Amino acid sequence: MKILVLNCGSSSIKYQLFDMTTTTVLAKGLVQRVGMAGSTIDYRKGDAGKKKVYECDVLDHKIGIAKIFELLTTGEEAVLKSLKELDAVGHRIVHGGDKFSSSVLLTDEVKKAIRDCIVFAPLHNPPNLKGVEAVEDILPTIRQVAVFDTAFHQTMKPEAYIYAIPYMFYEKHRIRRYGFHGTSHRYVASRAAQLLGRPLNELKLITVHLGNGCSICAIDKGQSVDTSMGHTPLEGLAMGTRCGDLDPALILHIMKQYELTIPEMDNLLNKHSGVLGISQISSDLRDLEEDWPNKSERANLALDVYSHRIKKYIGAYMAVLNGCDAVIWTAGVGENSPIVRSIVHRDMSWLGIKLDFEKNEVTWRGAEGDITTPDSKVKVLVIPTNEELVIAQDTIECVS
Amino acid sequence: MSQKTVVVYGAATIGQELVQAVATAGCDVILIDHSEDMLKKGLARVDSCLDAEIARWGLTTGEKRAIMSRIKSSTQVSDAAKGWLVIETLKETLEVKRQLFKELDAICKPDTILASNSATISITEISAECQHPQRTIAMHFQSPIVKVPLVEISRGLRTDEATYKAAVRFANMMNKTVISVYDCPGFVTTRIILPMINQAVKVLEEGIAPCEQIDTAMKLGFGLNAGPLALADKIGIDTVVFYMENLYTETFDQSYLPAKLLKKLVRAGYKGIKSNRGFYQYGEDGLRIDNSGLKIEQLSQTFAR
Repeated sequence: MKILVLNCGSSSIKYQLFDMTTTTVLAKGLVQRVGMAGSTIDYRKGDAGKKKVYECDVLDHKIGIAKIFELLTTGEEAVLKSLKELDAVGHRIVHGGDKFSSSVLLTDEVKKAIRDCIVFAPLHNPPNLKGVEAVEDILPTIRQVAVFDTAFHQTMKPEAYIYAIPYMFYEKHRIRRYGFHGTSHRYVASRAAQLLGRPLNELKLITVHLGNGCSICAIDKGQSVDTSMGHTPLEGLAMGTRCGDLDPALILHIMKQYELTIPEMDNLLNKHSGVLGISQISSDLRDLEEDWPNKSERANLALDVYSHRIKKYIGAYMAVLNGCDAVIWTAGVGENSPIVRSIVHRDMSWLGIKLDFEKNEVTWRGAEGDITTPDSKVKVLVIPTNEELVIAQDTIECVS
Repeated sequence: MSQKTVVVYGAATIGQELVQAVATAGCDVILIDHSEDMLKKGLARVDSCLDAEIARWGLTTGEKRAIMSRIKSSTQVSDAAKGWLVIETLKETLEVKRQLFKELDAICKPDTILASNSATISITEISAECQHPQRTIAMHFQSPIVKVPLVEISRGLRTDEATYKAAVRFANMMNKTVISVYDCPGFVTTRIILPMINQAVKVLEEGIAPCEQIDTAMKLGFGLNAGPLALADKIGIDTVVFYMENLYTETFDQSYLPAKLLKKLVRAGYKGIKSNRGFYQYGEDGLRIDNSGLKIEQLSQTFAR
């Protein structure tokens, strides 16, 4: 079974081709600057092949996807003899609203539902859909599957997803917590069960996904019961440039005092806040961790605020779950920042967490494993996420 | 340059604002002006406006770099041929615009859309000497273009449907709401705002209320962002008079006959924010000085009645 996984953003297309009979990556890459001057496509044969970058005009998603198909089937680095070898295409779709609690085969009806969710994710759902339609145009008969970022969190109960504002907003506009990164939280939870050697349906897990966006999820018996991102990906943890949780009155206060427009305030919260806003150095944790803790007071403060928020959520979710078997760290920062992990897990022994600082230091750059001492009641695991693989697996499940 | 390149003709304030808005919306854009000096000043203004946006958290430095990288400039009219859409922002006089459209019509491919930002001149007249008038249209962007979410589109008598649809798509791509009219100088906004400014000036002239109170009444009473006199200062009082005369010629409607005081102010060089003095006085930073409204009792001394 050969499955192509696509993640279509507003100006980029990420792709990965899997051979699912052997669970290997045949090729992967990224199209950048779709619809702009100076577009590029990079292509890598296999999981670790040498990256080749091609320059070409990619005026829209359809041209980009046609170009990907061309690279996969022709030339010296081709991995398919023809597109007939391709069994199905899986798409990452950001928002499925409350209509989808699992991945589904794409039909006209599903497409309409995704279109209805544009109001929730105006920047993401439209390019996601463009990708689906582009593949349809080129390969009218191929089966396509939608894998939603929001689907995994649909198991949350109303007490976790209803905001304490007039109920009318939920009834009329479906304003509620949806949560994101569902594919990643789901993947690392099931991988954790394998590592712990216990069935997922008897575990209480807290998964910490720290990438560009950050979210944390309480998982009971394999089901999401609460998550930190909300109606939009702005709520919850402090992130690279996003503020996360905030006193909502501050938004009104700042807008009034500085006479900011709605787009300006939107930018302030999404692009000028987080660790960048505090440190004024960088949104990239690696820059703040350089020479830690001697870089600067503000860099340390940014790291401390970032880590404190994570610690607070872990405590809260332990209460929500009434216990915890393991905390799992994943994605860019989660997999690669021993510093943040050590700040968060410092002084958590009362909650049953004892970090093995040596293991913590060496578990990064794709390494997987437990970073606690043998007597730690709650395990802390580092697990590299693999959302593309989950999308490929879901795709097979939906088409067979 | 990709097929998405837009050309803005004229590097004065409106042209500069338009270039910024188009590049911010993600399009490549060429700013054309015959004067090298105007181009330099225009681009410098775009640069400083983007910096001001960053200071207000409206943009990031990375976004600014991306926006600036989309902007090119040229002194050659012939470079207009590189755009699929050319928007002209020249002075509001029929002859100047008609001449430019004639030139653009000869330079550009027949399917290139030629748009005029004219507020008060008929697009049908502007395109009178074009070989391909079906691709001409009026698109009125309102200053400050980056912020005002409206574009008024006016179809000329010979504008075809494809041109109109492309203009609407472009405006929507820039996140602007479109209102459309048929060959109508003044559109809706200019038609309605000019008599309001005129009446405000008459209220001032007759000594009914001072500047500050007129503007406060209209602002609070009708939820406007700015009162009519402050607005006149922003548009430029000379421009206001010019628009009124154009629309009076067009409609012979008395409400467009400029109040006497408006003409007196223009003659005295009180043109509004751009000359630091109009109905109010402004500092070098363009911000209004408190309690600087024109005093009616001083009018007779300042201007012979």
